[in-house]
Amino acid sequence: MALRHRVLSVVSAAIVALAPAVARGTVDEPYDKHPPPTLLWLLLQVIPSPEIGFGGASAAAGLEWQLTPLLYSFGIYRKLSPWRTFVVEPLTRQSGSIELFVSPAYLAARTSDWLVRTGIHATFPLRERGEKLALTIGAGVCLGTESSAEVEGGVSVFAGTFGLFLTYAPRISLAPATLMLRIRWF
Amino acid sequence: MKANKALLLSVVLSACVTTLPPAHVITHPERADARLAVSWIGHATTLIQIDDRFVMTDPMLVDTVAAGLSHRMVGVPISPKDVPPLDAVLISHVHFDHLSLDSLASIEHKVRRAYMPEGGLVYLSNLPFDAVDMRKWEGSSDRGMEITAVPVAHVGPRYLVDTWVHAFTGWVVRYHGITVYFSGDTAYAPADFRATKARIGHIDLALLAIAPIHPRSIMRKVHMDPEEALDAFVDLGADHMIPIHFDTMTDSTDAPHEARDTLARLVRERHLESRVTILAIGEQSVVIAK
Repeated sequence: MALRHRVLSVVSAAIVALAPAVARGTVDEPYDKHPPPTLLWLLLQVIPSPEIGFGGASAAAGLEWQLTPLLYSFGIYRKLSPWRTFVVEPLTRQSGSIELFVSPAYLAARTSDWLVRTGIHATFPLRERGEKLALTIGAGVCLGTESSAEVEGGVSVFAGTFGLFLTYAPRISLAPATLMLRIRWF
Repeated sequence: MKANKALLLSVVLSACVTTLPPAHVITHPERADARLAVSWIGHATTLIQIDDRFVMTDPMLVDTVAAGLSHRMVGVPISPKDVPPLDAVLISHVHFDHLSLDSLASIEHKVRRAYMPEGGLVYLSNLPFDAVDMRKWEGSSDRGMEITAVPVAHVGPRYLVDTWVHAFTGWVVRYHGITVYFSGDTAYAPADFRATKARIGHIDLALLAIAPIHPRSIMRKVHMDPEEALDAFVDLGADHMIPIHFDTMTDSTDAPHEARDTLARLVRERHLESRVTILAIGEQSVVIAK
């Protein structure tokens, strides 16, 4: 319970520090409140996305988690703040956005390794403002026992809940390429 | 539990529905002989004409919503090109069958302003028309047309997880002395309806959702059945009622036409035939003639 409160407090403090203040006065001042980090949201972030790695000595299996420390949405309604930290509504991301991502990943084949991927994603809506289909491309670095620059791309459906993403980090000998079934809510 | 399973099966099967063509098609919605006319486009979508103004409620002008997961049973009876310039679009809440972004995009250059429930703008995306969000009892005036958000009882989340969202409302439109009430989705909430009557005064027409009915143990909390809708009609003190939100989507375990047939029977029993008009999808009613 104490850990839960501590984690929620840290996330809440980050959001309060980085997000715009709530503004609501008249009809001309829209309700503009950053989505809160609820316990349900926190639990959903724990669900990993499965992935397979290939291009190394043998195929690898892995799990990956996604965090968004900062996101700028160019698809959100223009009267609202385009900035989000950690908690991001699906449409805010899928309708067009650029985000800083941090993704811890665990890959295992004959050997195993913890990796941290970090970089920048851009998401572009393709169908139904991105709720039905969106394209994401990105670049960054992959840090672990070995480190590498990486590029990635993929598509996502159902408001970004499910996606198929390919990442290529040539200097990660365990698995230079990974194919991830992304599972993500918010 | 049995009701939950039946509802889940119904929702899953809705993805397999074949959309039938509408029996009525609207090509010229403007009525020169009307002060108040309503076309039912299906589900909660209506096109309201009050003198020279046009208002559309919860536009659903496509055959599928929810990223292709939910299909209309009856097709859209009006082409976006035949939709007149809209002075207002009223969005009751952000569920996929009421806030259809593809539908709004198809008429985006015809919309003067969209009215959203408080907190709803984040679900609109950056469509080109003006939009505002309004809290309960807040009013807005545009060239003589007054629009007021009124309380109803429903639920807000669009993506299930966004439980902090309470973006749902009913709407009242008043122009040239004619007042129209639009319930959106709501449970039977007599206190809300009576408060609306007390604050708004005389209502010429109430557009009231009458379904989904079953499973009642679940739907009662968020949707009126036909009997409750008639009670709401009385609570609101409206002159006329047109039922909406039935026979369009597969979102319940209702029998085909159950809501419509039940309402028709109740209307006869209560002798309300002259005040309640049940439209077919694509039909139009002149509520107040010139």
